[in-house]
Amino acid sequence: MGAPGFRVNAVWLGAIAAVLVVGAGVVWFRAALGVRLPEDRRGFIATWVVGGALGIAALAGDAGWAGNVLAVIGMLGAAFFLFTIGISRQQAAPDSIAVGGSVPVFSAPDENGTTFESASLAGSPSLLKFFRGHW
Amino acid sequence: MAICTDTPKAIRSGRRKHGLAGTFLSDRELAVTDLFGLRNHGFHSGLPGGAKALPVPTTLLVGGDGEVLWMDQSESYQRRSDPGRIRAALEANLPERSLTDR
Repeated sequence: MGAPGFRVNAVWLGAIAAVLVVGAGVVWFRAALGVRLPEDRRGFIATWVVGGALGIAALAGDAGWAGNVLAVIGMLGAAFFLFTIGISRQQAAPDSIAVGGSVPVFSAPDENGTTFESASLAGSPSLLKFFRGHW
Repeated sequence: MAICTDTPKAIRSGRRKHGLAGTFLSDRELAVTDLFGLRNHGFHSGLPGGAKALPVPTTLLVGGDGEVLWMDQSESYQRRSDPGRIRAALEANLPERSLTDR
């Protein structure tokens, strides 16, 4: 069961783990919503790694039910955020469109099902944005 | 103009929800995406039952002759084209005119 002093410390570890992970997560989501995520994400990654490690330490130290709940929040939250970063890498084809290249001829249905033809773009500059959709 | 793998119904819903203007195209089978070579060949994180793959988030400024004048693309889907960056590209490449949303 562990000495009482160590148990209190384990509770604090769980609390710190949860605060670190959730706090960094809130900052992350707010930055993402404002299109302000930094190119250098090492600070976020380090925070989640530390938070997850503290959560594991808290669980190992038998922090009681409250401390364990906080520890699990820290661990699962860290795992979630690190996983999303891990799968976020994008890789286009080697011969994908590039500056100086020509836009290919294309057609596709719009939101009403009407077919749009790329020929209608000729004569005026356009901004084309490929995005991942509703989610 | 925006191109994504959403169904036309999902596009209408998203447009209403976010108050978006402009032309949105549904590229469910990634036919247009593949013409541009923008299919993501990394981990596909689409929803179950959704499109079989997703495009790499990319913004292209295209001249009236079809030439790509500027392009913004990220190595991570978590980073999107910053509006200020797009505006700067418009001013640099099209200083003599204002762009009408299509």
